[in-house]
Amino acid sequence: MISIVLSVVMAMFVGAALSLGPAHLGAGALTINQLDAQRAAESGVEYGLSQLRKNPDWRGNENRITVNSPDLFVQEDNGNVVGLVRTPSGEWSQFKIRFNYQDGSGNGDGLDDPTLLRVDNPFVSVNNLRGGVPAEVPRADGAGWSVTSTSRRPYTCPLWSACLAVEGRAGQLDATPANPLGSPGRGTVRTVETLCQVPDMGELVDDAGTMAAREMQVSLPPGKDHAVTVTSKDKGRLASVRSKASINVSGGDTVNYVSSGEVATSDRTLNARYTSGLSLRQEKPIDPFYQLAWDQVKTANPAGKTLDAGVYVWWEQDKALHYYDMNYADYVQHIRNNPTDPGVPAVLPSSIKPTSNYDLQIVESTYVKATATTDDLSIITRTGAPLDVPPPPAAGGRAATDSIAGDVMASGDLVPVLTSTNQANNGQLDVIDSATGQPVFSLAWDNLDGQLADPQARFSPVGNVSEYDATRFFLDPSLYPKWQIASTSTGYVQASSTVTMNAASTMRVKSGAAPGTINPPGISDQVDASDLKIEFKGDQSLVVLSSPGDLRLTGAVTGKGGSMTAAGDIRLVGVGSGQLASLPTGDQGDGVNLYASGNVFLNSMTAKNGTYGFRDVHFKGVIYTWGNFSAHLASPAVRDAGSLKLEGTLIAYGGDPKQAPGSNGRGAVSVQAREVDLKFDPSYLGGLSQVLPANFQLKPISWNTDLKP
Amino acid sequence: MLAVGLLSIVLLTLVALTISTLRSNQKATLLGPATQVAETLLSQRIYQVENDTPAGTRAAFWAASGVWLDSTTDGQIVNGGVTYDYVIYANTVLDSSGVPLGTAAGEPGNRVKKVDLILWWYDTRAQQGTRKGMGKLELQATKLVNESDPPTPP
Repeated sequence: MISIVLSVVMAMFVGAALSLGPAHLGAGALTINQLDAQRAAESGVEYGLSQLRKNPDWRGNENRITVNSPDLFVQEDNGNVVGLVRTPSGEWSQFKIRFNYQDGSGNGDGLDDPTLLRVDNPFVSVNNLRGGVPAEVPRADGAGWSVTSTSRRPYTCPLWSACLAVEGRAGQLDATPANPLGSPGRGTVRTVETLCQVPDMGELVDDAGTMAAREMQVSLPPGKDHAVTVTSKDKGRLASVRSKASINVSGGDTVNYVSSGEVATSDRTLNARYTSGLSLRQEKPIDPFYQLAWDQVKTANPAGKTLDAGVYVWWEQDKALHYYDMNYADYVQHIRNNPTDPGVPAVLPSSIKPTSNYDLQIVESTYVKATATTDDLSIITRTGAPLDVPPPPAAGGRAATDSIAGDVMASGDLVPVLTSTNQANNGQLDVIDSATGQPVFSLAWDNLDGQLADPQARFSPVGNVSEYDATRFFLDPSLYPKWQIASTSTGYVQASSTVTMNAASTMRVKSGAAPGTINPPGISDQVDASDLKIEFKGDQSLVVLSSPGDLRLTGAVTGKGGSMTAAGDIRLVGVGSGQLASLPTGDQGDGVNLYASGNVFLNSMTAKNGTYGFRDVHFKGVIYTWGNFSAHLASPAVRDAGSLKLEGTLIAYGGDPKQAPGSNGRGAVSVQAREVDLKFDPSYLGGLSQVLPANFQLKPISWNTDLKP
Repeated sequence: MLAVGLLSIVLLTLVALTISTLRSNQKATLLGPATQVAETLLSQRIYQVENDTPAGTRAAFWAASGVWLDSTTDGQIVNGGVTYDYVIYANTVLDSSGVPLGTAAGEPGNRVKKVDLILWWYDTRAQQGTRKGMGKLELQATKLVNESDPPTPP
């Protein structure tokens, strides 16, 4: 009996010990798993920080296996990141980061859905290092762990910061590099969410809707409400215009500069009739402009869709694009000599679709591929698009520097001088009154920086001679033979420097050829810039047309999510009739509308059926040029002037943005328009208002451990 | 007599089982402190790297490849009457293209190290962390560390 009682008591002790031991061990293992999961999540944070510091635009979108070693494996897939970290004992732990909204192609995050690595938790990371404005941090509470327009957005990610939400998982995982996600629901989970910010960013670049490294000149036709209006979409940020030189507004209404913001010029003045609420300050040479380097701009991938460089010409005859493998200047020369040459049928990539007569739709980013002869892209009409009205027959009243556009017709003794092949492009023909010996005018040959196929004659009165007198002197036969070529003429090899006009030496200015037109002899093609349209279809993600040389497009350029980048000039002729907008996302490259390492030139003239007019031009986004910006939307000789509306910001940097503004001597802004509406919209800026320093640090400003769904 | 013999055998077996169970309990009891020691040790050493205390710690860490710290040279840790040995490895993480992760060509400033800590107690290091009747008396802790300033809670 005693033995039995003793046995029962001992058995109870042993049973208790047996049940407690594994329980203790189990609890210990759970603690270890929690800590391993915590460290995995923290490892994910460290990985993310390293990637962000290497590439401030990083969003888990390298789309490759970034680390592939025996004890560490990391893969990125369209914004989602999965990492496996192995301990020395061989156990894998896992971290997962998701920037992807998992809401389909593009949409709110501008990313395609991940193809391999879906992360099914609600914690979305946000990179706002160069967002320009605070960015909301959403929770993925939609179907399939997606972020929707109604998803909760519990807080915002401030400027210069990134939110990293990382799920760590450890203990009995079956994830391997071959299957990095593993089976769902396994292991212990800890989630860390941290908000890290670049410290000590100091003073931001002073905001401005327009920045010009040189003078800014706006010419407005007289009229009510004809003015420059400068506003800011963000009430907290000043509506400002900055120039390293001067800002001049001429013409327009009695008040021709309307703004309650600020103007900064080198001498703290504004040459305009401005509203009383405007502040003036001095722009110092060292004050920085927004810096947007070429490598920060989204460009089309040369390995993606491509279009051969060259000249594409719309013909009315077959309503088709004809292709010529040559640059624009060579094409003009060629087609004038061979006006019926059809070239070859244009071959367009699938990213550029002809939709109707003379309309092109760009649905994917397209890169202009240089050929052996050119790296420029030109899309034009057969007769060319006018940049201004033709010179009148008498050339009277023309401005002193207006081009006579190669329309000088001469005969007699003058012919050898004006048409001599010995004549230098930049020669100047000085003309004197043979009776008095006084200089009257000069004819300077100018090929306009190579933009025109033929040298042009520029007519310039000299000294105090009025335009009227000089013109009359130039043209009035009753004054013959009183004018002479002066010996001060330069650029002429011809020995004769005293050619005297006589009755046989008639000279006149013909009418009809407007600057910019090509007019192949015998061709009466009626297709005009107003018939052409190029539409960008980048509703959700940016569609970029990139050229390694110039971009010369004719017709309306419209659409959303459209961007053009050129290593040379961007020339948009006949532009207008619609709006071209980039994307106002936090990702800085998406905000760029036009980016040129050369100049940006806009001209909205149309000449349908011989009636000249200018269209309105509306851009939304960032227009950035290393050179000058010019918008020709009005002319004294044309009644219908166009207006210019820019929402975003315009920067005429005047040089490589890695150097100081104006380092190449350019950066002027010149606008002729009926009205100019500059609305500063920082949502397109990205991080332009500050440049992240090299090797910047990221400091935590909040840290949440063990976040629960 | 037979019954007494059988009862003795049963009792001895139960005693043996009890002793084994108590050892298991002892291991479980020690696991908690060991976990804390591992966690503290790793955090403390990384903190010293990030703050370069003592001077030269940061440089030594980022120059390390393989063993960075070893208790045989760095000193053992005694906690709760238990002596702990440890070794910490620090290896630079390479991108799949072969260059250090976060860099263009291995330049300092944004490298990433994988830090592995192995902790032993009850003098089991020489036996790869095993002790008869108690199984594994060893813990590992692994963490990535970015060369930038730490994202630790403020």
